[in-house]
Amino acid sequence: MLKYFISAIIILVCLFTGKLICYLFELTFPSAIFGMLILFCLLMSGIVKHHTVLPCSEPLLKYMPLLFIPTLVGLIEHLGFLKDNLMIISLSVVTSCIVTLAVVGLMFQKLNKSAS
Amino acid sequence: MIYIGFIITIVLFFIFKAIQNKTNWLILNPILLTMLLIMLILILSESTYSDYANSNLPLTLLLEPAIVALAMPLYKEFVYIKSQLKSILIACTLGVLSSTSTALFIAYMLGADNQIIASVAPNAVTSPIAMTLANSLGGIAALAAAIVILIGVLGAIFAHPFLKLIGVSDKAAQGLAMGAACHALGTARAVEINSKIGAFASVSLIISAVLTSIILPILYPLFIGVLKGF
Repeated sequence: MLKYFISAIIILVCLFTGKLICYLFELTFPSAIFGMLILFCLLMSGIVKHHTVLPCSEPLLKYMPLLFIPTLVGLIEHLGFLKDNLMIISLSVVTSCIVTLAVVGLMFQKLNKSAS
Repeated sequence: MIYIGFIITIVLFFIFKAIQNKTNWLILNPILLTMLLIMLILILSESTYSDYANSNLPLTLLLEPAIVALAMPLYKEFVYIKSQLKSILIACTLGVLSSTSTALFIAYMLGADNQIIASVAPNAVTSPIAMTLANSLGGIAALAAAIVILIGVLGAIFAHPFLKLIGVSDKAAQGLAMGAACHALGTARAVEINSKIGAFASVSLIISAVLTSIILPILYPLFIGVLKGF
């Protein structure tokens, strides 16, 4: 039980430190991602051990899709808006995805070849 | 009575997850199916979204701690990719720049309003992060998340054949591209194809998410400013 408590505290401390920094400096940067970077630095520097955080991080990551379903259902309030803009949204997003696949794939292949 | 929405979300999700595990069809995405069925239930029962959202508050509140927990897989993969870190960072930065600016540019050119532009911009990152980003830019979180999931389903099916078609034969490059453009669902598919492709896909999934969170809040106001200036 204690190990769950400790790992939960570590995650929450990182999250709230991130929130506090974003609030103090009025950053538009998403505070949860700031929290993630803080935890990453703590892990890299060895201050926090990987297995100490594991009890809570494992179930959180495993069931992450479940956690954003309620927000996703919020789309119900924007259905009309979505219908009016369906063409714009699909065109921009599909093109963006294709361009990204090509850019990253070709670029890394080139960098990898010149390195070896 | 207040927790009925909460129970419905959990039960439906696990039913659809079991169905997908049985059939292995990517198109039967449990997140997408659960979302659609709950929307249908809400419409048929004439319930309001805010009641449903309130009863699901316990789930929604756990989302931010879950994003923090993403540091764990990043840390684990980091040792593995250290030697190629520079190339990975260059490729992912270019990927983030092209994914966000292409979406921003096309949406703007087609006459979308700011709410739409802010929702399509983070289309290449994993949904919870796309949601927070869209929110902080003034877009619609739910729309951003839905876009991301649809792109993921399409990407899981078409990304790998497309990469081979344009001549990307290097496995590491294929994985990196799938993680950068099609996030979690593309990564899940990459893991299925080959473990090396999978490892690179999960690395680029997280690195792209972090880079997008840094680049987009800076790029977005600049972009809007420049375009509006014309």
